[in-house]
Amino acid sequence: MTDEDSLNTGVSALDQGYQSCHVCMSIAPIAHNHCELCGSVLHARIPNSLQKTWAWLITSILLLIPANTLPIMQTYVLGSGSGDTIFSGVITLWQHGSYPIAVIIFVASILVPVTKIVILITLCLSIQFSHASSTTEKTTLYRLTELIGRWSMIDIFVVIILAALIQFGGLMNIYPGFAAITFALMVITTMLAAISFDPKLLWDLNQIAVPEVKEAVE
Amino acid sequence: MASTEYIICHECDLLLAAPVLGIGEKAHCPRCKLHLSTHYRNGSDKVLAFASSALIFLLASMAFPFLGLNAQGQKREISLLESFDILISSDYGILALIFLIMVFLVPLCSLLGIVYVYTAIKLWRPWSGVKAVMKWVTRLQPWNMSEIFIIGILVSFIKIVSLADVNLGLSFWSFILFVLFLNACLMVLDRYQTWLLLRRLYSYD
Repeated sequence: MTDEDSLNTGVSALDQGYQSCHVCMSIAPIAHNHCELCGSVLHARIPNSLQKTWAWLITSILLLIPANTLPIMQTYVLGSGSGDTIFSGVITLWQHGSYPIAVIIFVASILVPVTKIVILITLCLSIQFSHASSTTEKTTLYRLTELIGRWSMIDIFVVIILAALIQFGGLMNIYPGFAAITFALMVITTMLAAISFDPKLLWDLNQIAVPEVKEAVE
Repeated sequence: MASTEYIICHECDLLLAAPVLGIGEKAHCPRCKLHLSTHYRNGSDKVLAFASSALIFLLASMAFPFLGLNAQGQKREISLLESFDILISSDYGILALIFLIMVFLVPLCSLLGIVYVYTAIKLWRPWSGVKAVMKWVTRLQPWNMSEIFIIGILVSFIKIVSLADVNLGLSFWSFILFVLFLNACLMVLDRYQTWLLLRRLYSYD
Protein backbone atom coordinates (compact mmCIF):
# COMPACT_ATOMS: atom_id res chain seq x y z
CA MET A 1 0.00 0.00 0.00
CA THR A 2 1.33 3.36 -1.03
CA ASP A 3 0.90 6.61 0.78
CA GLU A 4 -0.88 9.21 -1.29
CA ASP A 5 1.95 11.70 -0.88
CA SER A 6 4.37 9.41 -2.68
CA LEU A 7 2.20 8.83 -5.76
CA ASN A 8 3.94 9.37 -9.09
CA THR A 9 2.05 10.74 -12.04
CA GLY A 10 2.83 9.30 -15.44
CA VAL A 11 3.03 5.74 -14.10
CA SER A 12 0.38 3.02 -14.02
CA ALA A 13 -1.95 3.56 -11.06
CA LEU A 14 -2.28 -0.14 -10.27
CA ASP A 15 1.49 -0.49 -9.86
CA GLN A 16 1.17 2.13 -7.14
CA GLY A 17 -1.74 0.39 -5.44
CA TYR A 18 -4.50 2.70 -6.69
CA GLN A 19 -7.63 2.22 -8.79
CA SER A 20 -10.32 4.52 -10.10
CA CYS A 21 -14.10 4.21 -9.98
CA HIS A 22 -15.60 3.20 -13.35
CA VAL A 23 -18.55 5.49 -12.74
CA CYS A 24 -17.36 8.70 -11.09
CA MET A 25 -13.59 8.52 -11.76
CA SER A 26 -12.66 9.01 -8.07
CA ILE A 27 -9.47 7.29 -7.05
CA ALA A 28 -9.13 4.81 -4.18
CA PRO A 29 -6.54 2.34 -2.82
CA ILE A 30 -6.96 -1.14 -4.36
CA ALA A 31 -7.95 -2.52 -0.96
CA HIS A 32 -11.26 -0.62 -1.16
CA ASN A 33 -14.24 -2.54 -2.49
CA HIS A 34 -16.75 0.27 -2.88
CA CYS A 35 -16.37 3.82 -4.11
CA GLU A 36 -16.83 6.23 -1.22
CA LEU A 37 -18.40 8.89 -3.45
CA CYS A 38 -20.88 7.00 -5.62
CA GLY A 39 -20.97 3.58 -3.97
CA SER A 40 -20.12 1.59 -7.12
CA VAL A 41 -18.17 -1.66 -6.86
CA LEU A 42 -14.49 -0.93 -7.44
CA HIS A 43 -12.03 -3.04 -9.37
CA ALA A 44 -8.67 -2.06 -10.81
CA ARG A 45 -9.36 -4.25 -13.88
CA ILE A 46 -12.69 -5.62 -15.03
CA PRO A 47 -12.85 -9.05 -13.32
CA ASN A 48 -12.43 -11.97 -15.76
CA SER A 49 -12.44 -9.47 -18.61
CA LEU A 50 -10.94 -11.82 -21.22
CA GLN A 51 -13.22 -14.77 -20.40
CA LYS A 52 -16.32 -12.56 -20.57
CA THR A 53 -15.20 -10.95 -23.83
CA TRP A 54 -14.49 -14.36 -25.40
CA ALA A 55 -17.88 -15.69 -24.25
CA TRP A 56 -19.78 -12.75 -25.78
CA LEU A 57 -17.65 -12.92 -28.94
CA ILE A 58 -18.34 -16.62 -29.47
CA THR A 59 -22.06 -16.02 -28.88
CA SER A 60 -22.09 -13.19 -31.40
CA ILE A 61 -20.26 -15.28 -34.01
CA LEU A 62 -22.84 -18.06 -33.56
CA LEU A 63 -25.68 -15.53 -33.90
CA LEU A 64 -24.05 -14.02 -36.98
CA ILE A 65 -24.63 -17.26 -38.93
CA PRO A 66 -28.47 -17.36 -38.79
CA ALA A 67 -28.51 -13.55 -39.01
CA ASN A 68 -26.94 -13.75 -42.47
CA THR A 69 -28.47 -16.95 -43.85
CA LEU A 70 -32.12 -16.58 -42.79
CA PRO A 71 -34.48 -13.93 -44.16
CA ILE A 72 -34.45 -10.64 -42.25
CA MET A 73 -37.64 -9.40 -43.93
CA GLN A 74 -40.66 -11.17 -45.49
CA THR A 75 -42.54 -9.33 -48.22
CA TYR A 76 -46.02 -10.56 -49.21
CA VAL A 77 -47.45 -9.14 -52.44
CA LEU A 78 -50.99 -10.34 -53.27
CA GLY A 79 -50.58 -13.36 -51.04
CA SER A 80 -47.29 -14.66 -52.41
CA GLY A 81 -44.36 -14.17 -50.09
CA SER A 82 -40.63 -13.83 -50.55
CA GLY A 83 -37.86 -13.49 -48.01
CA ASP A 84 -34.78 -11.30 -48.21
CA THR A 85 -31.57 -12.00 -46.37
CA ILE A 86 -29.31 -9.08 -45.46
CA PHE A 87 -27.02 -9.75 -48.40
CA SER A 88 -29.76 -10.35 -50.99
CA GLY A 89 -31.38 -7.12 -49.78
CA VAL A 90 -28.16 -5.23 -50.45
CA ILE A 91 -27.88 -6.77 -53.93
CA THR A 92 -31.52 -5.91 -54.75
CA LEU A 93 -30.96 -2.29 -53.68
CA TRP A 94 -27.82 -2.11 -55.81
CA GLN A 95 -29.62 -3.51 -58.87
CA HIS A 96 -32.42 -0.97 -58.44
CA GLY A 97 -29.82 1.79 -58.49
CA SER A 98 -30.13 2.82 -54.82
CA TYR A 99 -26.35 2.83 -54.49
CA PRO A 100 -26.03 5.04 -51.36
CA ILE A 101 -28.59 2.96 -49.43
CA ALA A 102 -26.99 -0.28 -50.60
CA VAL A 103 -23.64 0.99 -49.34
CA ILE A 104 -25.09 2.15 -45.98
CA ILE A 105 -26.78 -1.21 -45.35
CA PHE A 106 -23.70 -3.15 -46.47
CA VAL A 107 -21.41 -1.16 -44.18
CA ALA A 108 -23.76 -1.14 -41.18
CA SER A 109 -24.99 -4.73 -41.40
CA ILE A 110 -22.06 -6.69 -42.80
CA LEU A 111 -18.81 -4.72 -42.66
CA VAL A 112 -19.20 -3.17 -39.17
CA PRO A 113 -20.18 -6.35 -37.23
CA VAL A 114 -17.49 -8.45 -38.92
CA THR A 115 -14.79 -5.77 -38.44
CA LYS A 116 -15.80 -5.33 -34.83
CA ILE A 117 -15.60 -9.05 -34.07
CA VAL A 118 -12.23 -9.35 -35.88
CA ILE A 119 -10.77 -6.37 -33.97
CA LEU A 120 -11.93 -7.72 -30.60
CA ILE A 121 -10.53 -11.18 -31.38
CA THR A 122 -7.19 -9.60 -32.33
CA LEU A 123 -7.11 -7.58 -29.10
CA CYS A 124 -8.00 -10.61 -26.97
CA LEU A 125 -5.35 -12.74 -28.67
CA SER A 126 -2.66 -10.07 -28.23
CA ILE A 127 -3.36 -10.01 -24.49
CA GLN A 128 -3.54 -13.78 -24.25
CA PHE A 129 -0.16 -14.15 -25.97
CA SER A 130 1.36 -11.08 -24.26
CA HIS A 131 2.00 -9.35 -27.56
CA ALA A 132 2.98 -5.86 -26.40
CA SER A 133 3.52 -3.95 -29.65
CA SER A 134 1.62 -0.92 -31.04
CA THR A 135 -0.57 -0.41 -27.98
CA THR A 136 -1.66 3.08 -29.06
CA GLU A 137 -2.99 1.71 -32.35
CA LYS A 138 -4.77 -1.12 -30.55
CA THR A 139 -6.42 1.36 -28.18
CA THR A 140 -7.57 3.38 -31.20
CA LEU A 141 -9.05 0.19 -32.71
CA TYR A 142 -10.84 -0.52 -29.43
CA ARG A 143 -12.34 2.98 -29.37
CA LEU A 144 -13.44 2.46 -32.96
CA THR A 145 -15.36 -0.71 -32.03
CA GLU A 146 -17.11 1.13 -29.20
CA LEU A 147 -17.99 4.01 -31.51
CA ILE A 148 -19.27 2.14 -34.57
CA GLY A 149 -20.83 -0.95 -32.97
CA ARG A 150 -24.22 0.57 -32.26
CA TRP A 151 -24.70 1.69 -35.85
CA SER A 152 -25.28 -1.89 -36.97
CA MET A 153 -28.80 -1.54 -35.60
CA ILE A 154 -29.81 0.60 -38.62
CA ASP A 155 -31.08 -2.39 -40.60
CA ILE A 156 -33.15 -3.66 -37.65
CA PHE A 157 -34.84 -0.28 -37.35
CA VAL A 158 -35.49 -0.24 -41.11
CA VAL A 159 -37.19 -3.64 -40.86
CA ILE A 160 -39.22 -2.49 -37.84
CA ILE A 161 -40.37 0.69 -39.61
CA LEU A 162 -41.25 -1.11 -42.85
CA ALA A 163 -43.12 -3.84 -40.97
CA ALA A 164 -45.10 -1.23 -39.07
CA LEU A 165 -45.88 0.86 -42.16
CA ILE A 166 -46.42 -1.60 -44.99
CA GLN A 167 -49.61 -3.33 -43.88
CA PHE A 168 -52.02 -3.01 -46.79
CA GLY A 169 -54.45 -5.86 -46.20
CA GLY A 170 -53.94 -8.47 -48.90
CA LEU A 171 -52.16 -6.14 -51.34
CA MET A 172 -48.79 -5.85 -49.71
CA ASN A 173 -47.52 -6.75 -46.27
CA ILE A 174 -44.05 -6.74 -44.76
CA TYR A 175 -43.08 -8.76 -41.70
CA PRO A 176 -39.76 -9.09 -39.87
CA GLY A 177 -37.90 -12.33 -40.55
CA PHE A 178 -36.30 -14.52 -37.91
CA ALA A 179 -32.86 -13.12 -38.80
CA ALA A 180 -34.01 -9.72 -37.49
CA ILE A 181 -34.06 -11.20 -33.98
CA THR A 182 -30.70 -13.01 -34.25
CA PHE A 183 -29.12 -9.94 -35.85
CA ALA A 184 -30.38 -7.65 -33.07
CA LEU A 185 -29.07 -10.09 -30.45
CA MET A 186 -25.75 -10.25 -32.33
CA VAL A 187 -25.40 -6.45 -32.11
CA ILE A 188 -26.21 -6.57 -28.39
CA THR A 189 -23.70 -9.37 -27.70
CA THR A 190 -20.90 -7.60 -29.62
CA MET A 191 -21.64 -4.46 -27.60
CA LEU A 192 -21.44 -6.52 -24.39
CA ALA A 193 -18.15 -8.00 -25.64
CA ALA A 194 -16.74 -4.48 -26.15
CA ILE A 195 -17.99 -3.38 -22.71
CA SER A 196 -16.48 -6.46 -21.02
CA PHE A 197 -13.11 -5.84 -22.64
CA ASP A 198 -10.72 -3.86 -20.45
CA PRO A 199 -8.31 -1.75 -22.57
CA LYS A 200 -6.09 -1.29 -19.50
CA LEU A 201 -4.97 -4.90 -20.03
CA LEU A 202 -3.35 -3.79 -23.32
CA TRP A 203 -1.28 -1.19 -21.47
CA ASP A 204 -0.39 -3.64 -18.69
CA LEU A 205 1.60 -5.63 -21.26
CA ASN A 206 3.98 -2.70 -21.65
CA GLN A 207 4.88 -2.68 -17.99
CA ILE A 208 7.12 -4.97 -16.07
CA ALA A 209 4.61 -7.14 -14.27
CA VAL A 210 5.06 -6.98 -10.52
CA PRO A 211 3.98 -10.35 -9.08
CA GLU A 212 2.05 -9.04 -6.05
CA VAL A 213 0.19 -6.54 -8.25
CA LYS A 214 -0.82 -9.33 -10.62
CA GLU A 215 -2.11 -11.31 -7.65
CA ALA A 216 -4.21 -8.35 -6.54
CA VAL A 217 -5.88 -8.22 -9.95
CA GLU A 218 -6.66 -11.93 -10.05
CA MET B 1 -7.98 10.05 1.94
CA ALA B 2 -8.08 9.54 -1.79
CA SER B 3 -8.94 12.97 -3.01
CA THR B 4 -9.46 15.07 -6.06
CA GLU B 5 -5.74 15.66 -6.49
CA TYR B 6 -5.34 12.74 -8.90
CA ILE B 7 -7.20 11.15 -11.75
CA ILE B 8 -6.61 7.80 -13.43
CA CYS B 9 -7.08 7.48 -17.20
CA HIS B 10 -9.87 4.93 -17.55
CA GLU B 11 -8.43 3.42 -20.70
CA CYS B 12 -4.71 3.09 -20.00
CA ASP B 13 -4.53 3.33 -16.17
CA LEU B 14 -2.06 6.21 -16.17
CA LEU B 15 -2.05 8.15 -12.90
CA LEU B 16 -2.39 11.86 -13.62
CA ALA B 17 -2.62 15.08 -11.68
CA ALA B 18 -6.29 16.05 -11.69
CA PRO B 19 -6.87 18.60 -14.45
CA VAL B 20 -7.91 22.06 -13.27
CA LEU B 21 -9.72 23.35 -16.32
CA GLY B 22 -10.54 26.93 -17.20
CA ILE B 23 -13.70 27.65 -19.15
CA GLY B 24 -13.56 26.03 -22.59
CA GLU B 25 -10.47 23.93 -21.81
CA LYS B 26 -10.20 20.22 -22.45
CA ALA B 27 -8.08 17.51 -20.85
CA HIS B 28 -6.67 14.50 -22.68
CA CYS B 29 -4.61 11.58 -21.42
CA PRO B 30 -1.01 12.27 -22.52
CA ARG B 31 -0.35 8.58 -23.21
CA CYS B 32 -3.45 7.16 -24.93
CA LYS B 33 -5.03 10.51 -25.93
CA LEU B 34 -8.37 9.62 -24.32
CA HIS B 35 -10.59 12.65 -23.79
CA LEU B 36 -10.91 13.01 -20.02
CA SER B 37 -12.93 16.14 -19.48
CA THR B 38 -14.11 19.44 -20.96
CA HIS B 39 -15.14 22.44 -18.91
CA TYR B 40 -18.03 24.03 -20.84
CA ARG B 41 -19.09 27.61 -20.23
CA ASN B 42 -22.31 27.47 -18.14
CA GLY B 43 -22.23 23.67 -18.48
CA SER B 44 -24.92 22.97 -15.88
CA ASP B 45 -27.35 25.49 -17.37
CA LYS B 46 -26.84 24.07 -20.84
CA VAL B 47 -27.30 20.46 -19.68
CA LEU B 48 -30.53 21.36 -17.88
CA ALA B 49 -31.88 23.41 -20.80
CA PHE B 50 -31.07 20.79 -23.46
CA ALA B 51 -32.37 17.90 -21.33
CA SER B 52 -35.70 19.64 -20.61
CA SER B 53 -36.14 20.56 -24.28
CA ALA B 54 -35.36 16.99 -25.37
CA LEU B 55 -37.87 15.66 -22.84
CA ILE B 56 -40.64 17.94 -24.09
CA PHE B 57 -40.03 16.99 -27.73
CA LEU B 58 -39.89 13.27 -26.85
CA LEU B 59 -43.30 13.48 -25.16
CA ALA B 60 -44.68 15.55 -28.05
CA SER B 61 -43.51 12.95 -30.56
CA MET B 62 -45.85 10.42 -28.93
CA ALA B 63 -48.94 12.52 -29.45
CA PHE B 64 -49.22 13.03 -33.20
CA PRO B 65 -49.07 10.89 -36.37
CA PHE B 66 -45.47 9.91 -37.10
CA LEU B 67 -45.60 8.81 -40.72
CA GLY B 68 -48.29 8.62 -43.33
CA LEU B 69 -48.43 6.49 -46.46
CA ASN B 70 -50.44 6.84 -49.64
CA ALA B 71 -50.34 3.77 -51.86
CA GLN B 72 -52.70 2.45 -54.52
CA GLY B 73 -55.62 4.43 -53.15
CA GLN B 74 -55.02 3.27 -49.58
CA LYS B 75 -54.12 5.74 -46.88
CA ARG B 76 -52.31 4.82 -43.73
CA GLU B 77 -51.10 6.86 -40.83
CA ILE B 78 -49.29 5.56 -37.78
CA SER B 79 -48.13 7.05 -34.53
CA LEU B 80 -45.09 5.77 -32.67
CA LEU B 81 -47.20 3.95 -30.08
CA GLU B 82 -49.18 2.16 -32.80
CA SER B 83 -45.98 0.79 -34.28
CA PHE B 84 -45.33 -1.10 -31.02
CA ASP B 85 -48.82 -2.63 -31.22
CA ILE B 86 -48.20 -3.79 -34.77
CA LEU B 87 -44.90 -5.43 -33.81
CA ILE B 88 -46.35 -7.14 -30.76
CA SER B 89 -49.39 -8.39 -32.67
CA SER B 90 -47.20 -9.85 -35.43
CA ASP B 91 -45.42 -12.12 -32.92
CA TYR B 92 -42.22 -10.11 -32.87
CA GLY B 93 -42.50 -9.08 -29.25
CA ILE B 94 -38.75 -9.26 -28.71
CA LEU B 95 -38.13 -6.75 -31.52
CA ALA B 96 -40.81 -4.49 -30.06
CA LEU B 97 -39.05 -4.76 -26.70
CA ILE B 98 -35.58 -3.93 -28.12
CA PHE B 99 -37.11 -1.01 -30.03
CA LEU B 100 -39.02 0.25 -26.99
CA ILE B 101 -35.99 0.03 -24.69
CA MET B 102 -33.30 1.44 -26.98
CA VAL B 103 -35.25 4.18 -28.73
CA PHE B 104 -37.57 5.35 -25.93
CA LEU B 105 -37.02 4.02 -22.45
CA VAL B 106 -33.23 4.50 -22.27
CA PRO B 107 -33.34 8.12 -23.54
CA LEU B 108 -36.44 8.87 -21.44
CA CYS B 109 -34.91 7.51 -18.21
CA SER B 110 -31.55 9.19 -18.95
CA LEU B 111 -33.24 12.55 -19.54
CA LEU B 112 -35.42 12.33 -16.41
CA GLY B 113 -32.31 11.34 -14.46
CA ILE B 114 -30.22 14.19 -15.89
CA VAL B 115 -32.96 16.73 -15.12
CA TYR B 116 -33.19 15.43 -11.53
CA VAL B 117 -29.40 15.48 -10.96
CA TYR B 118 -28.88 18.89 -12.50
CA THR B 119 -31.87 20.44 -10.74
CA ALA B 120 -30.29 19.28 -7.48
CA ILE B 121 -26.97 20.82 -8.55
CA LYS B 122 -28.64 24.03 -9.74
CA LEU B 123 -30.60 24.51 -6.50
CA TRP B 124 -27.62 23.15 -4.54
CA ARG B 125 -29.78 20.71 -2.57
CA PRO B 126 -28.28 17.32 -1.68
CA TRP B 127 -31.45 15.37 -2.52
CA SER B 128 -31.55 11.65 -1.89
CA GLY B 129 -30.69 9.29 -4.72
CA VAL B 130 -28.94 11.89 -6.87
CA LYS B 131 -25.67 9.94 -6.95
CA ALA B 132 -27.42 6.64 -7.68
CA VAL B 133 -29.37 8.28 -10.51
CA MET B 134 -26.20 9.76 -12.01
CA LYS B 135 -24.56 6.33 -11.82
CA TRP B 136 -27.40 4.80 -13.87
CA VAL B 137 -27.38 7.68 -16.37
CA THR B 138 -23.70 6.87 -17.03
CA ARG B 139 -24.35 3.14 -17.36
CA LEU B 140 -27.31 3.50 -19.72
CA GLN B 141 -25.50 5.59 -22.33
CA PRO B 142 -24.22 2.86 -24.70
CA TRP B 143 -27.80 1.57 -25.08
CA ASN B 144 -29.31 4.83 -26.31
CA MET B 145 -29.96 4.32 -30.03
CA SER B 146 -32.40 7.09 -30.89
CA GLU B 147 -30.04 8.76 -33.37
CA ILE B 148 -29.56 5.43 -35.16
CA PHE B 149 -33.34 5.15 -35.40
CA ILE B 150 -33.38 8.47 -37.31
CA ILE B 151 -30.97 7.06 -39.92
CA GLY B 152 -33.19 3.95 -40.02
CA ILE B 153 -36.20 6.15 -40.82
CA LEU B 154 -34.33 7.92 -43.63
CA VAL B 155 -33.22 4.61 -45.17
CA SER B 156 -36.81 3.29 -44.94
CA PHE B 157 -38.11 6.38 -46.74
CA ILE B 158 -35.87 5.83 -49.69
CA LYS B 159 -36.96 2.19 -49.81
CA ILE B 160 -40.66 3.08 -49.70
CA VAL B 161 -40.60 6.09 -52.03
CA SER B 162 -40.96 3.89 -55.12
CA LEU B 163 -44.00 2.12 -53.61
CA ALA B 164 -45.94 4.95 -52.05
CA ASP B 165 -46.07 8.63 -51.17
CA VAL B 166 -44.66 9.22 -47.72
CA ASN B 167 -45.94 12.03 -45.51
CA LEU B 168 -43.94 13.15 -42.54
CA GLY B 169 -46.15 13.76 -39.53
CA LEU B 170 -45.74 16.35 -36.80
CA SER B 171 -44.32 13.67 -34.51
CA PHE B 172 -41.50 12.98 -36.93
CA TRP B 173 -40.20 16.55 -36.72
CA SER B 174 -40.67 16.53 -32.99
CA PHE B 175 -38.62 13.32 -32.79
CA ILE B 176 -35.81 14.88 -34.87
CA LEU B 177 -35.68 17.84 -32.44
CA PHE B 178 -35.69 15.42 -29.50
CA VAL B 179 -32.65 13.59 -30.89
CA LEU B 180 -30.82 16.87 -31.61
CA PHE B 181 -31.40 18.20 -28.08
CA LEU B 182 -30.58 14.82 -26.50
CA ASN B 183 -27.21 14.71 -28.29
CA ALA B 184 -26.48 18.35 -27.46
CA CYS B 185 -27.23 17.53 -23.82
CA LEU B 186 -24.99 14.44 -23.78
CA MET B 187 -22.21 16.43 -25.43
CA VAL B 188 -22.09 19.13 -22.73
CA LEU B 189 -22.73 16.63 -19.93
CA ASP B 190 -19.16 16.04 -18.75
CA ARG B 191 -18.85 13.05 -16.44
CA TYR B 192 -15.79 14.32 -14.55
CA GLN B 193 -17.16 17.85 -14.03
CA THR B 194 -20.53 16.47 -12.91
CA TRP B 195 -18.95 14.27 -10.25
CA LEU B 196 -16.72 17.13 -9.11
CA LEU B 197 -19.89 19.15 -8.50
CA LEU B 198 -21.61 16.23 -6.76
CA ARG B 199 -18.53 15.69 -4.61
CA ARG B 200 -18.79 19.30 -3.41
CA LEU B 201 -22.60 19.15 -3.09
CA TYR B 202 -22.34 16.16 -0.76
CA SER B 203 -19.33 17.79 0.94
CA TYR B 204 -16.80 15.02 0.44
CA ASP B 205 -13.98 17.56 0.36
